[in-house]
Amino acid sequence: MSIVIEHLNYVYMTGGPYETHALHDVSMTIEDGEFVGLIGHTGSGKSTLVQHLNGLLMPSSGRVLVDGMDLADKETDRRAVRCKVGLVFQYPENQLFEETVEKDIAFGPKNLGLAQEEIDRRVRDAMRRVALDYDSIAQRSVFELSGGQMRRVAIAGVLAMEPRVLVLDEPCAGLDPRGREEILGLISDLHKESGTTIVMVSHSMDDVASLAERVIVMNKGEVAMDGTPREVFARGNELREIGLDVPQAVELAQRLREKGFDIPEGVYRMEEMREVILNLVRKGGRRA
Amino acid sequence: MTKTDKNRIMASNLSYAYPEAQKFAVNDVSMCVKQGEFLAILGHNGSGKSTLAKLFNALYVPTKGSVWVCGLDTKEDDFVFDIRQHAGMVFQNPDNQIVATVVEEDVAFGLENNGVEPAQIRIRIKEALDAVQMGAFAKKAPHMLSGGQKQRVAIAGVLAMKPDVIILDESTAMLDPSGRREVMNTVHRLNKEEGISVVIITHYMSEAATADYVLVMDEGKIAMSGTPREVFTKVDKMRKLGLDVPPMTDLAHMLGEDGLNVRADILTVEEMVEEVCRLSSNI
Amino acid sequence: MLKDITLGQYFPGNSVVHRMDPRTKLILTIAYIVGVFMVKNLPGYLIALGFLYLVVRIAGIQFSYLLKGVKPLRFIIVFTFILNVIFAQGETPIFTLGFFTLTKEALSRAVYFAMRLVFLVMGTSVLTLTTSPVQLTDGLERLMRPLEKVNFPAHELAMMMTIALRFIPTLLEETDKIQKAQMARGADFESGNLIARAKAMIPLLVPLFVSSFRRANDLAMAMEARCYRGGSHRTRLRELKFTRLDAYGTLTVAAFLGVIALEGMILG
Repeated sequence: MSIVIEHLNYVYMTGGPYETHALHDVSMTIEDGEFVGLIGHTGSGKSTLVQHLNGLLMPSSGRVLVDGMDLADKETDRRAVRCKVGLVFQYPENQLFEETVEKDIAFGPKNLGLAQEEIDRRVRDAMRRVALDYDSIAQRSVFELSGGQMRRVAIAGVLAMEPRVLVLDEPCAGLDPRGREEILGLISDLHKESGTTIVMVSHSMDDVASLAERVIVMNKGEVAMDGTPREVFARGNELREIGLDVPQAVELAQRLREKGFDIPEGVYRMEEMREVILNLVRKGGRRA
Repeated sequence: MTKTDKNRIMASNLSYAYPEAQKFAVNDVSMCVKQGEFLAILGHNGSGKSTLAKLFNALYVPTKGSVWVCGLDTKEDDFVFDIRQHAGMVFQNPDNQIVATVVEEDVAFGLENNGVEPAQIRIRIKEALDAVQMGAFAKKAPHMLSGGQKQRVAIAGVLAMKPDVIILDESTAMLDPSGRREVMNTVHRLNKEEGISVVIITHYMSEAATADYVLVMDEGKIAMSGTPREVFTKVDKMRKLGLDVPPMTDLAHMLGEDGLNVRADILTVEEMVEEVCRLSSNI
Repeated sequence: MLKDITLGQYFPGNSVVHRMDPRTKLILTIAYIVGVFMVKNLPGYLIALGFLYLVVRIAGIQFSYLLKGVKPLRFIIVFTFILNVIFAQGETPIFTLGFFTLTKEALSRAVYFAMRLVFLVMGTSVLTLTTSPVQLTDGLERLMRPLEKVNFPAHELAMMMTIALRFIPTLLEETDKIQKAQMARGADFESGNLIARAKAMIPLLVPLFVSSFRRANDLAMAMEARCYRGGSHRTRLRELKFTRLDAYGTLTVAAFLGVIALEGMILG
């Protein structure tokens, strides 16, 4: 299942004094099974873009096709689209509301009108995927869990819709290092085990560099770059120009190149830099 | 102790338990913040670091032991407002600590509470907003500002009280990278130029790496302490405490495991570049 | 976005009306409304309308802004009008339809009530259009301050107003976000009967309450950390001062009241 975006424009508050062109002629195709890292600073349009992927926002012009269905078409069942494309907002634990973890996760499947058995199966499955123990946690109140657990409950609530595409807006925001690692780990597992398409919005270049297969850079409502991490991070100077960071490995590679070292183009992972430096030191790779 | 004491904050055998809690959230902590010092407190969620911060501002009163802020014991009711003026606090959520509907009004809030004369308030607002480079926003509504700008307004609100210490309780946690940079640059400048002591509580190792001294909290106790170099060099121990180390320290650690004779206390990209230069010219 | 909706419809400006002390404006607004309520005939309303027009023009605001303020209340106004027409007692019938008789008294009463409502809204609009919410709160607090002697919580009320004004945009934004998040989980806020819709609000309201409590908690802590200790021996950044403008304003409104009274005596 792919998502096709064609010449998408989005204008907030058309005609008013606060009119803002949030998205400008955005076109892209997100293929089945991809892991896309979506980066850009605050106000670059990335949050507006992800809300188009499941029809929470409607294009001012242009089209969004999810699995061939046009979201702007009145005939399209928007709920069907929303269960194909799951959207996890920033700080998703803020939307929990049910008495128990189980009931909260079941909210989505219930809205889909599924049978009770199927709902139960999905709740258990979703909890397993986010590494929450059903027996000890399902009946507890969501409000007595730790921050990291609440976030996983919220993600499970979206997973229980069994979406083919999972969109996450800053899934690690505000977590401590261990919490970040856990969340990133489970996103990575989801992608690997069930081939779920992942679109992850992140401010952390290092997270994107370590996970994404494709990187899309937004700037001022437009797609500034779109390619493999290798291609995108090779354009470090351009990224800095639009106010973004580069992964530390890219930064190091660039500084070493300036010192005359022969560093292969497109290195962007710390593991790669480890190999590169080992070779440099062992073989003496300095040009000058 | 007197006001001229070099220790801005001093804690001795400090413990604190929340009402009805079984365990101490802060357990027998002794430490100090010197005049002009930049201290970072690290620790995973629930390690007691935020509780510690609130003890520095007399928001919580010690269950056992004591805290002195500029020589004033936080257990003394009479000192509470003096202590809060000496040790200003900036919190995590930028939306939940701005009180007024206009930026300058918010900066004035603490001064109004302390009964400062209006003419004097005006002067201090201007100084404080200029110091955080928000002078142009004095008349703006807070909800129209970015996260980083809101936090700088919050810092200005504290700064206007002419504090000796500023405590930032995860004040960068909800910001984007540029907002984080804005806030960190601001507090570093205040630390250097005005000599204000700074205590930051953070999850970001890169922020802690810029401090003079680092404390690592675990289970309410101080698990590690030292300069950033001393602390981050202990990569395995940091990991065990649920924390990270700066990426370059991690890389140095990995290269060390590969058998390279690399310095273990590298924190920045520059240092790594130097080290690679040194290593490759040795051959 | 919801957060960009301006509140209290303040129209920034630097006219003499804007620069008047909020306390004066509050009192004069009340005086004006009392004056309008004494009006009993059409010429009187015309004078009142002319006066409003004058004030609004001096403030540099389009008159249509005042009418915009009335628009959301049009149903209430029509409703009061109809109620009065039906239920008010009268002796001079105009026409009869079945058992319903329209009397002259009932009709005029209905018209007066509707007019009073319209003027009430327009009069207060002039106040809110030319006075920022902050000034308004300041003015109210200071006007109510003498009441603190009888333990009336003037400062606390003003503080509550300020905090409410400060948090309305934040909470609107949050409502929007939670609503979208629940819609992403298949929630439906739009269809179904009244009960189904009320039920559908739970996933929206519970998180909103939870987060409001958390915000309140955070805010209380932040206020405490900044030495907040209630209204006693507190100074204010903005000192309110009466100026010549306030005297002129008072005289103008007094003149208006005089004209209204005179007109009432002549046309009775």
